[in-house]
Formats: sequence, C-alpha cells, structure tokens
Amino acid sequence: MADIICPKCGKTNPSEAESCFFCGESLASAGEGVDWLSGLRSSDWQDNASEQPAGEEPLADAEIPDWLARVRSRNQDEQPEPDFFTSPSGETPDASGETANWLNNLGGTSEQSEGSADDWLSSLSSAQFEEEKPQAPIPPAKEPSSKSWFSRLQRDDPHASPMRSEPSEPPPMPAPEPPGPTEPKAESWMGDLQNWGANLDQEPPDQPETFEPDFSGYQAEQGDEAPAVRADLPDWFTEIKAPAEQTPAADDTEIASEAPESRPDWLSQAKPASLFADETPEQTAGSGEGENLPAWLTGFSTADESESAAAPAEGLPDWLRGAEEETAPAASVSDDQPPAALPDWMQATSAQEPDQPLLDESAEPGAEAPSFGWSGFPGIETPSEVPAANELLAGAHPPEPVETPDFAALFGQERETPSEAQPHPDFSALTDEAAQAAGETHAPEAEAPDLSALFATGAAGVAAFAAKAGEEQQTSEDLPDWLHPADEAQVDSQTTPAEPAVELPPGADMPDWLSKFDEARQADLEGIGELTFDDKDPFIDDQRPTWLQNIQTPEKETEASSVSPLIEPEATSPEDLKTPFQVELPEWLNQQPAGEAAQTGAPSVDETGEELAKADLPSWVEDLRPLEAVIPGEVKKDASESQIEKAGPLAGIRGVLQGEDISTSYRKPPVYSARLNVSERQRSQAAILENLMAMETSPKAVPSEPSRAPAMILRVVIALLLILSLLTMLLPNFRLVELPAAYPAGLTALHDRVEALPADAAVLLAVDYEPGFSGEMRYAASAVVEHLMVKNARMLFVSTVPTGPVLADQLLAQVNLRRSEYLLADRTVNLGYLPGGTTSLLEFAHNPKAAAPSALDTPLTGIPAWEHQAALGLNSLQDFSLVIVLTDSPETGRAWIEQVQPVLSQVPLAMVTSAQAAPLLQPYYDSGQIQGMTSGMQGGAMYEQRTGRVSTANQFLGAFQSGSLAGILLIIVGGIISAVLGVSGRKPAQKGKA
Amino acid sequence: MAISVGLIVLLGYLIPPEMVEFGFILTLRSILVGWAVILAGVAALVGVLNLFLVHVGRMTAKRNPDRYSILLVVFFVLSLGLGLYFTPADPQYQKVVTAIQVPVETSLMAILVVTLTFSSIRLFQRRKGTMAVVFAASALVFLLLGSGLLAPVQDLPGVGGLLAFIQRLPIAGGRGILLGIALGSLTAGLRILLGTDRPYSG
Repeated sequence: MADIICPKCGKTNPSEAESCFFCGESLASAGEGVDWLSGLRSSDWQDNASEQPAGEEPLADAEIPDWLARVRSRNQDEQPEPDFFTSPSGETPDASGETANWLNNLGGTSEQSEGSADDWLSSLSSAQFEEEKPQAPIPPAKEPSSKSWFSRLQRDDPHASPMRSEPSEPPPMPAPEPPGPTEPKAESWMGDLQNWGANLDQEPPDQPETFEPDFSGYQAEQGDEAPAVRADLPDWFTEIKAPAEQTPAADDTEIASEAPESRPDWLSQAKPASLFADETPEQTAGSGEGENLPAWLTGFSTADESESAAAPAEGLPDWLRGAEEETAPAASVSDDQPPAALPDWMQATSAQEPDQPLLDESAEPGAEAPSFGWSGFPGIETPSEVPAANELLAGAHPPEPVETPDFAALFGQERETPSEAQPHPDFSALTDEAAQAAGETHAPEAEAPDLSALFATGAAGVAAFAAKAGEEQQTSEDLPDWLHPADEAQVDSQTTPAEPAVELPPGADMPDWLSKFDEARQADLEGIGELTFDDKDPFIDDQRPTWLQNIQTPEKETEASSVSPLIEPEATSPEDLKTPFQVELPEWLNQQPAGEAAQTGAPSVDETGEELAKADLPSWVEDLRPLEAVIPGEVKKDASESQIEKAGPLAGIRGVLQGEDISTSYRKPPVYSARLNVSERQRSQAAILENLMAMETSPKAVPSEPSRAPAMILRVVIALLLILSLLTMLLPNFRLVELPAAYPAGLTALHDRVEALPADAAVLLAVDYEPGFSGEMRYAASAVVEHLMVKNARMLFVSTVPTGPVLADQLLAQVNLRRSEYLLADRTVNLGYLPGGTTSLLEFAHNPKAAAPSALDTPLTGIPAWEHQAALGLNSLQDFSLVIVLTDSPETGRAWIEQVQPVLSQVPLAMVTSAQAAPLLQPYYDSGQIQGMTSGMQGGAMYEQRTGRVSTANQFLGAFQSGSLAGILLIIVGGIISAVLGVSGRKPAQKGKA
Repeated sequence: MAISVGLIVLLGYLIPPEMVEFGFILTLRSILVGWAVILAGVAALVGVLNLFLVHVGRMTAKRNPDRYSILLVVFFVLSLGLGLYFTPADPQYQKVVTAIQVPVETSLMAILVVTLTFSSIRLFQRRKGTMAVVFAASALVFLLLGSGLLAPVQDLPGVGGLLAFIQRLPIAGGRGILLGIALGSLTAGLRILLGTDRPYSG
C-alpha cells in the first residue's frame, strides 16, 4: 500500500495510520488525497486503465501518463460526460481523444476530491457535473488560503463579474494554472496578474457578455453544493462560482469585505480593490455583466478590442505568452479534429460564434472551435473540444461585448502597437522573453504559436495578440525565465509547427514545451485523426517543458532526484508556507518594476503589509511536481511499490514487499583491492626503508678478537733469538766485531785520571745506579774499580740510592775476585746511603762527615765511617783525589755536577754512566764540568782494553754484540713483514668499511 | 717561610766559604738543608709506612683480598725485621738486594728488550709514515753504533766523521734537553721564591 504523506509535516506515514506519526495531524483527509494520488503515482496505470470503463478510449489512455489516466478514469467512472466537453460536432472528447489530458482528468478527479479540499481540479469537475447537489455557502473557515488563490483572483477581479452574472457558464478555464505553476514557480505567473490588473485600469473590458463560458455547473455548485462538497473545491473555483450568484454590487462588497489574509498576496497584488476603484465609468459600464468575469478572462475581450489600447506588454504574464504562442499550432490542428471534451464554458464560447473561424486560414467555422489559448497549456490543445472557450473567444471578439477574462483583456492590452498585419497573438513574445532571459536569442522568424491563430480567428482581440507577435522583442523583457527554453536547439527542434496550414507569424517563437505538445498532437493526429491528445504528458521525463525546468532550482532538483516522489522531503510545515506554493518566486515576479507598480497603484505585498496566509500545500500539488513525477527512476520505484501481489494470502494487495526484488536487488558487496597504487619511486624508497630497518634489527657480527697466539709466538721467537744470541758468550773469545782502536776522549781522560792517582789516594765512588742496571754498570765500572785497585787507592763508597751501598759491596766483591791482593776491609769504606737522596748531596759536599757519619758496616764493626782506616785524614770532599760517580741516570749525574762539583774545587769529577745516560752527560764532559767519562759495556770493554786487562767486559761484549745484532735483524725483518702484512690485512678491512 | 728558606739556601750557594762573615748564612743553609734531608728521610719512611698500610688494607679487605699485598706485607716485615736484626752491612742480609732485587730488575730489563723488539716489528703494521721510518731507522743506527758493530768502518774516511756526527746527535739533543731542564728549574725556583707558585701550601 502506498504510504500517506502528512499534509502538515510532509512526512510519510503508513497507509493504515490515522494520524501523522510525526506531527499528529489527522491523516483522514490526507489519506483520501493520497489514495487517488497513489493511483496517480502508481506506475501500473495501465492496469488501472484496464479497470476504467469501456467508454474511455484505451488508446488515449495508453499514451497519456498514468496520473492523468487515473484522474480521467475516476472522472469518467463517477460522473457523466460533461456537457461542455461536447464539441460542436457532437463528439465526445474521449471518443475523439483530442481532449487535453490534464483537462480531462480535471473532471475525473471529482469523486476523490471529496474530503480533499486541495484538489481544485476535482472541484472543477465537481462544479461542472454536480449541479444537482445542494450547495451551501462556503464556510470561510474551510477555505484554505492556499487553495483560494485562484478564487480570490476571480473575486478581486472586477472583470470576473460577467462570469458570475452568468451562472450557466463554466468557470474560467483552469488552464492558466497548468501543472507547471503548481511547482514552486507557481506564483510567478500568477503574480503577473497584478500587472494585468494594472493594465486593466487603463483598458477595461468592453464586452464582457461576449465571453460566456459554461460555468453553469459551477454556479449550481456554488448555490447548492453542500459545505462538505464545497470544501473539496479549490478556493479559487468556489470563489469563481460565488460571484456568479451575486450581483456585481454584492460582489464588490464581498471583495471589499474579504479578509485580506484569506487570499494570497499575489492575488491581492494582482487585483487590489483600489485598482478597480479607479476604474473609469466606461470600464464599469463596459463590463456590465462581465464585471464578474475573471480578470484573466476579461483580458481576452479587452485584448480583442483594445488593439489601440496598447497595454504594456509587461502586464502580460509570461506563461500566457507562452501559451499564446503554443496555441497557434494547436489551433491549426483543431481544424482536423472534432471538438470534443471541451468544457462547457469553452463550448459556449464556441457556440456563440460557431461560424467564426478561429484560425485565419485553416479554421473551419462552426465545425471546429478555434483553439483557445488554453490549448497551449498542457492538456488543452484542441480548441474543438473546448466550445466554451470558443464562446469565450467569440465573446472576446470586438463586435460583441463579451465577458472577457482579465487575462484575455490583458492580452489585448499588452499590445502597445497592435498591428492587423499580424493577426496572430504575440505569445511568441513571451517565448522570446523567456529565451532572452535564458540567454538565448530567438529569431524573429520563428513559428507563431497556435494560440495566436486562435485568437486571430476567434476575435479581433486575439488577432491583436497575433499582431503583437512582431513586437516580441519589445515585450520580451517581461518574459519569465521559465518560459525560456532551456536549450535553443531543443527549441528549434520542438517549435516546428505541426500543421503547415497554420501560418505562423514570422518572428514568433514557440516555447519548447509548446512544441512538445505540438509534436505530440501531430503524432495523435497522424495516428488517430481525431482530437489530439498529447502523447506524452508535459511532465514526463525529458518532455518536461523548459519553463518548468527553469522553475525548479538546482537544489530542488537535487532533492527531487534523490527522494522518491511519494515521499515529501521538505520538512516545512504548512504553517510556514506563506505562499500558496512554497516556492521561490521567479525573478521577474519578485522584481516587479517600480514604475509599473506606481502605474497600477497596486501596493506590493510588502508595502501593504499583508501577510501571506498560511496554507497547506495541497498534496496533489506536491504529488504533481513534475520533476518528481517525470523522473523515470522515481517512477520505477513507484512501480515497485504499487505492484500488486498476485499469489498467496496477500494476493491483491498492493505494495507488498517483493522478496524476489530484494534478492535480486542484492548484489555482492564490492571487493576492493588491497593492493596499493605505489609508484616505482615510492617502491624503491620503501625498499630502502625496509633495508634500513632490517639492518637495524639484524645483530651485528661481533668482530672476532684477534688471537694472541701469533703475538705470543712472535715474542717467544724474539726471546729465543735473543737468548740464542746471548749464548754466544759461552763461546770463548767470541766477538762479532773488534772494538775500534780509538778510544773515546772521556774514557781516555778517565783512564788518565786514574792512572795519575797518587799512591794511597782517596777516591770517592758514588754508586748511584739501580739494581736493574747493575749488569751494564757492573761491566762498565769493573774495569775502573779494578784499575783503582791496581793503584791501591782508598775507596769510599757513598750512594744516594738505597740499594747503592749493597751494589757497591757487590761490585767490590766481584772486582776483588780478580784483585785479591787488594784488601777491601782496609782500603774501602762504604758510607752507605745518604738519606734524602740528591737533596743530601749539598750537605754531603759541604760536610761529608755530617751527612754520612756512619759506614755501612759500622753497626757490625762499630767503627764510625770517618774513623775507618781508609777514611783517615779525610774531612771534606776536597780531601779526595778523585770523585767518580757511577750512575745510570742523567739526573743523578746532573745532581752531582750541580751540587757536588762546585764544592770539589780542584778535585776532578768523573762519571761512569750507562749507555742511555751518556748522551745527556756527555755535554758536561765536553764543558769540563766532569774530567773523565766512560759509558756502557762497550766503554767498559774499551777501558779494559785501554788498561790492557781484558776482563769480563770483553768476555760479554761478543754476546752483547750478537744480541744487539739479533735485535736489529728482528726489527728490520719483522718490520718489513709487518709492513707487508699490514698493507695486505688492511685492504680487506677497508673494503669491509666501504 | 718557604721563600725565605729558599732565599737563604740560594744565598748559601752564592757566598763562598771563604767569606767567614757570611758564615752564618752557610751555617743556616746547612741547617736548613739538613732539615730538608731529614724531612726527605722521614718522607721516605712515611712513604714506606703508607705503602705498608695500603697493602695491609688490601690484604685485609673483606671482599677480594689482594694476595700480592699479603706477599708484599710479609716480605716487607721480613726485610725490616732481618735488616734490623742483621743490619744492612751484613753480607747475608745484602743478599736480599743482590740475590733478589738485582736479578728481578735485571730480568725486567731483559723483558724490555724483547718487548721493544716486538714493538719495533709491529711498528710498520700499526703506523705507517715518515716518523715511523725515522724512528725505526734511528733506533737501528744507534743500536749499531751502541753495539760497536760499526767500529770496523769507523776508520774509513768519511765514515768515521759521519759516524761521529751521528753519535753527537744524541749529545746535541741531550744538551738541549739539559738546557731546557735548567731553564725550567730556574723558572720554577724563581716562581717559588717570588711567591707566584706555592707548591707547599697544599
């Protein structure tokens, strides 16, 4: 089942709901309205069409859209064929099939309009066919302000009085309100009625009587219809009927007393009381009966007879211009079509002047009613079907004062410079204006609209409209945007006149949507040869007129495209609606020229301060929104919703969820690839990063510690070689190299000093070397000590090293081995260690007895050092014959030179040093601070050779030389090998680093 | 005080012993130098005691006692006791030095020979450059010169002079070192005497 759309909040409710789930609004009326609207929405209109009575023409139903088919079927089911749909030829519109779809459906919706006060179309049919029903006064409270817009138009318009004065006439054509205006732009064209009213001030209708559409049905309805029925009628329609029952005076009173809030602003603007109050007596008199005629109808008569009125083109609503242009081809078609399904009022128009051709050339008088301007609107294309319209047109003819609708008068007034040479009404100007607004340029030689032909044949005023065709450029500025074709190419393709018999005025452009109708009508004519039905509803799919496309804002289109047409997406409550249609007014309506407003004297809505009455947007208007209705996709959705179950316990129920649809609509969710779209560069960078991370996480190989084995082996080899070299000492008289024959000067000086010692000379020997150097110093000093022993000198030993006294005894003992005749106990005194080291040298130099009071053996012998036999007569250092310092340290030798040598005075100071201390002490010898010097084992050996007593020094000199040679060889060979291995071993390391 | 003592000792070097009238300065200098010698002797004793106590502490440590310290302390006490008992003049006691200390220190020198030889071999493996070559060459030359292996060629004309020149190179270097030492000692003495440096202030 289709859901019910709440009229208040616009949200969808279940079909069984009695009140709106969201706002609590009762859905009784809405549900009724939805019921028939659901039928309109349903896509199975063909199925429903089969349920229609046999009287309906199946062909036409098959061609027309569903919603129209529904409306028409209901109309035909419940109501007899209206009289006014009978064409002068007696053909019914259904039979002819030329009745406009939407117009036919207007009558078909009457029964469903009960309880649905929104459906003005149904009210239209009800008013026509339910005259027998008693009509009660219309309770004002039941008239929604949003629905009475048209009735107010009629009520406010003094030109509508002729219609009221003739109750038998049908109500004014609802054609001025095509389905398109029900869209948000609906007010735009209605707003132009203000301009019409302003124009009417200048040119009132003269012959309102001539236009007498068949409003009898409406008059009866006004008088007899029960309030409940009247509630179903749209306000504008009831308002139309109401004045018909009243006198003009009463009508005026009613108009004046009507609450301003009960009518829309645009209508108030269109027909203010002041506007008509300013009417000239001529206009009033001229209007006569026709003053009750709606202004838009009066406009026809005025347009006919007011070729000289030169009403400004701005007063003409744009949509009428388009309708006028579109009417021309439709009128041409009407020649071949029997008048059928015309409303009464149109038939009446046709009947009044049956012989008056509606078309200039092709129209057949009497047989075919001229195509009224309404035919230019969707669904109304066959003037033959609209006798009332013919009558209206006839009445609009200048010779007869007809009740010309206001808008018809406006048509005539709009022509500032009517030209007879241009018989067609200048509806093309509307099209051009619309095209101009759309940024397009229409060629003036475009096809003339059909409506112009109708006017030309029906009335001179209509002809004046046609004459206005040449002035379209002047009046094109007033054309609204929605009249402009959206696509110029489309205009060119669609504005081709259907009938070549109709001569379109040059320079007249046909709007797209009119061309569509024209083409559709031609298709019908070719296929049927009867009354033209549009093959396609103007709202179907891409056939939607461009003016309707222009109406919709992009935002609305977006919403409409995304929301099902059955679901009202707008959350706007009806209370928020200030206009009959919650839409945006077109620019041409919002921007009413100030000069024009001043001319008409009609205060604008803002100026008057009148607020738009809050009105509920009729559900049928919402449902008839073209954009949503014509979108194929949306229609398809509707079809699924309205599908009737054919089997099972739910057979016959519509809207049952289809399991197979769900299963088929289900599709496998898309599987998205997880592969990244990575470029080569990113891939390489990622690889680098990955490598870096891998390098960080991978454990570093701990470099193996180099084995110490090779070093140890090498050291052992070195030691073995050195030991082997030292083993040469075991060889007797082994010597690698003989000592040089030349002795060093210091050695010779020392030798000479010793050799020159007097007998029993006292020699002071300072044994200041460490035990580690005893091996070298012993062999270096043994020759000198032996030489002293040979000289039988007294020797006193002193030392600044703690181990010195012991080493001195050791040295004496070793030398004494070779000179056993030398008595150590008598000839030597070991003064021991001087406390304080070198610090005590100065004291020892100045006072040796005080510095070294006891000898080393004093604790044993108890003999003080200076009382020892060898020390007898010695009190100071100057008492010594020679001072010899045995040292391995340059510092110790320097200390003796610095501290003792100055004190020695004439006592020579000589030194026996190690080989390493010789270079530092050699300068002191060269400077004369020391008088003799020998160093190292080589010096000892040379000293032995110099004395002629080869001893231990020469014995170990061969071993020393061999050891030194071994060391030299090891360093050279080992260095070369090491250098080679180092180069070869570093290359892999460098390669590894790289 | 340090400066005055220094100045007094310095004056003692400048005053010849013949100048009797300035004999008190020499006497004062002798007293001060005697104090210095005593202080140096005491300092050696203090050093010996400090060494003994340190090794006693290591020996008695609760965690990881040093076994070598035990040996040191034991032999220190033993040497001291034997020296006090036998006196240093006793030939048997002197064997402590001649039979122990002399071979030990001499063995260290022998090990040094092997180590230096090994290092000289690895020199070109660790360091490559001019200085390494110069160092190795100078070592070899002076080894040859010091060992007397070049003595036969010293008689050759030109060679003896060259070898003599080469042998004087270390003497020249030694003289320069001595000059530097002398200047450094003079400057240090002057700074102490002028009060610029006070190494004894702690």
